[in-house]
Amino acid sequence: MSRYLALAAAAMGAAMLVPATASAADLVVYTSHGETTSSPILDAFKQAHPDINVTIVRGGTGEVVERLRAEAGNPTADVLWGGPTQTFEENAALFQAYESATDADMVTVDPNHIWHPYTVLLQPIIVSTKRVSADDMPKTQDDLVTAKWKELGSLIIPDPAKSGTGYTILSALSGDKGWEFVGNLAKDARIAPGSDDAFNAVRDGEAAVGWINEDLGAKWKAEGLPIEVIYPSDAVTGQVDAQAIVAGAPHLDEAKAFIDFLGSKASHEVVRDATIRRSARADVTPPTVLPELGSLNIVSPVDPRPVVVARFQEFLSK
Amino acid sequence: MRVWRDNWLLFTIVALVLCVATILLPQLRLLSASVIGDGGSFSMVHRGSGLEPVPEMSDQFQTEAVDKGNALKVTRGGGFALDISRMDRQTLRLSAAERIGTTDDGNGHLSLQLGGSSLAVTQQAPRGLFNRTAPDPLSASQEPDGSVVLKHAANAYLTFNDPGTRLTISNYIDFVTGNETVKATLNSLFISLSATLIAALIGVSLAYVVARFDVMGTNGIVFFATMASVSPPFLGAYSWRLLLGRNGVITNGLGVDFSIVGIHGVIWVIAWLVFPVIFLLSYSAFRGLDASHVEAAESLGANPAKARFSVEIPLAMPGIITGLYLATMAALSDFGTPRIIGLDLNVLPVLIYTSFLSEAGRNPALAATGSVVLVAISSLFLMAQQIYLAKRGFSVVSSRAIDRRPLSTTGQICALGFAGLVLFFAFVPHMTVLVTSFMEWRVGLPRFAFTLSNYTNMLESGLTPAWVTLSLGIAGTAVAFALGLGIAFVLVRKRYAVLAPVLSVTVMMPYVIPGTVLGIGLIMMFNEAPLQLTGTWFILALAYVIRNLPFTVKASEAALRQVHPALDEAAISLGARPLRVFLTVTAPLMLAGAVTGATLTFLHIVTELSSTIVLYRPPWKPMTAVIFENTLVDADFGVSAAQTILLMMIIYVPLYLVVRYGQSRRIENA
Repeated sequence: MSRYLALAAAAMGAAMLVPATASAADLVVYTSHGETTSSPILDAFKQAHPDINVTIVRGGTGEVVERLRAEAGNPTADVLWGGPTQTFEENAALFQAYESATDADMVTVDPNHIWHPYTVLLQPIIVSTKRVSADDMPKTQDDLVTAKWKELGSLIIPDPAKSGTGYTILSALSGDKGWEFVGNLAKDARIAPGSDDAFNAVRDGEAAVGWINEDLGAKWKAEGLPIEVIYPSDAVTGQVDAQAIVAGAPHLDEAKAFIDFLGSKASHEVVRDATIRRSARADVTPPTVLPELGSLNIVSPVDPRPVVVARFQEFLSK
Repeated sequence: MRVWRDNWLLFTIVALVLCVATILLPQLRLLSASVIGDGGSFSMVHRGSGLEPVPEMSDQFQTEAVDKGNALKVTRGGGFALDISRMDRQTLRLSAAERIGTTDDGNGHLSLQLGGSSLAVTQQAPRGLFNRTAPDPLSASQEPDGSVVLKHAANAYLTFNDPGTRLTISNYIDFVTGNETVKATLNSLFISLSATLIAALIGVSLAYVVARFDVMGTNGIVFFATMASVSPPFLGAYSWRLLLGRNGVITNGLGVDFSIVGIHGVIWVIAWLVFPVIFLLSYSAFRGLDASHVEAAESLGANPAKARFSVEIPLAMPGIITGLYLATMAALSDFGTPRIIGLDLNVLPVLIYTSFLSEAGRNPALAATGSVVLVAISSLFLMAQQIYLAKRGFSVVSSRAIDRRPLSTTGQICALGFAGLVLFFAFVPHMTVLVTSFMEWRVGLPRFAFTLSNYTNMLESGLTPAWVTLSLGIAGTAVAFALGLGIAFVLVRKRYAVLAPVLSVTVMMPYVIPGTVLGIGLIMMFNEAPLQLTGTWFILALAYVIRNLPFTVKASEAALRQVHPALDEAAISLGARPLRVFLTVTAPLMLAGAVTGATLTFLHIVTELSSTIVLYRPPWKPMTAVIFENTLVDADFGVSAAQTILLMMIIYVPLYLVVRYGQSRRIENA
């Protein structure tokens, strides 16, 4: 038996050694961006800073934040790249302030310099053309409150308790149109356990109508999928995607260089062209397929998350 | 001391301590998390329109408007009373019968001391998307009369939170009165029972046909059913959705308005997932029948149908019931299927997972309560099974194996057609993934164009998940196998008073703990120094070992019972020490039986999803987690399809070898 135990101990010991070698890299970035978004930027960063070796750890926003929280005492990560600004504000203790020279070039800024804006992401309406005919297309958020959606396959709402995007949409709409409006929306709606589930449900026609992150909507539309993307004329919800330096980052100078690089005009142009996202820099023009910000009434979250979650829960149990 | 002289006693104690620390304590931790509530909180919002209470965010404290829009009174049992009135748009006055203390640690953490308790004050102010200024910070100043003046940001929500804890059953009350939680529980019960019922109809009838009639290719049918019994748990849901979803390949091709997404799809997919275990156990139960019983029935004048329902099925019932129990448990704890194909359908494992770990709000108390409820339900199922088996406590001494009845050509065709149809449905997912792994994927949907790029991409993007899976599979199997062997030896041969029975019960506990619950328990237990294992490779290995221990212990016990103790005694009488006897005599003799158990353990580990999805943190991400997540997001599944094929090879090659090896052994013995 002791032989087995020794073997097991050796196997475990070997496994524990591996993360130690991983942290020897020059810069560790946790990111929720997918391969297509991140790799052009990382290639450009490699050219600008050939001396810095970047290790990427990928995961959903919830996962990587959870991991940062677990590691708070002894962090391995230097930068969290990706996630709405609310995530950074709710977990401000996990990050440290850094006043990047590029912060001043952005359309919005964190006065505390914890997060550094990256892209602006709107949530237009997505409609399944498999379920909805051209005559029935909604034009405004108000159009989403009618009984006809239930017959056509329902409105799908990402649960604000489980999805940051769901929270952004409902908090912004309730701030703009009041809670009664959200209550009417929820009446016949289906509730998805995450934003990706809600997006995909409309793409596949499992649900008739919902909201979508505009970059994904534009991509799907270009691929000829059976969907329509509509910017409602009364109000469009939006959030800002950001990055921040982790509190106690082991490679602070490299992290600062990375943040400065992510804020640069060159990097923002790469992102815009690779992903159809609006840059948060004031001097980078938006992707041509997306409508001008000035033509839209942008609304953003008002009520904090616990209020939105609790009120929404109350509507559902009615 | 005896402990130092008896290696096995030492081993028993160490094993017991380890099992208690890794199995029992995490569950107790979960239980305690479900009965501990926080000290309560209350909130208010102060806008231009006035000061209003926010009852949705208040717990245990009562807030009532004294002067609507201008003043509030906050009370709590035990004499706590606080008056809050507005001074101007961003200033409030807090006063009480006694003096209110304030502390400010300079980092924006502000708290009030009042009536023996401390209240942490936080604010949340709305911020326009393109706003460039910070909300005004929160600050408190003490007034000479003992009241406090609180300055805050414009339009802020203010929350006062008592960080204390207390014992409460309110989590359970919320659970049984909450709409969502009750629905999730009922859905879970309905899905697991109806899926098991469908699986039983398919599995038991196929088992009967194959066991009692001379069907061609019986070995092949059994082998394919064994293969189906270890397929990755998320495979079915994803493939069926791809074929029969609203935008599915078949539904689009036929132009029908149908979707498998929903509760009917979950039941359908889970039924095909769990039918192999019912088939395999029923098959061996029917094969184990003694010929003389059936002959006796027939000689007493029973026709075949009567003999079937009054003799054969009742005698095979213990095996069938065990199969049903295992199937119900698998259906009840399945996380992947409802998550992929359920859309807005809530079931307990998904509810537990999403309330424990989600992008947005977390609710660990709800996760803990749900976990306790799920473990209670599965324990009830186990009790029902045990009571049934105890009542029917007979065993058949099979002296003469029953002969298979010959079949007419029509009968042969019918039997083969039935078996073929069942196996076809069971392998639809595998075939779908195989085909789509050679197809071009764009924006999450396959296109009809042949390509090898999925495989080349898989090789380029790195095989890290495959190595994580393999290393966990091998290490986990080795440890579970070694521990299982040792524990089984202690339980069968040593039978220490108190220690052995306690060890036996503890080791079997994971049998009723669903993977999601096990994972959450381990996180709660091992999230703090000096035992901080969360996010490492090691915690995954630990979870897999624990989850498979009941099976390795049972398999080793069965193998051990076949090795006669006289052989041990012979070795001891020749002067060998106990450990040496075990390693050189007992272990080699039981090895053949145990290899099969170890293989199954390996297969369970590499296909494990429900605990993996809770426990893994990048970069320690096994293949199951990678593939599963790609089914949920708008990722191109092509590479994941290729990875699934690789995973199937990791599963089916060892399985094939074991079946071959096992069969040739049987022939040698015969």
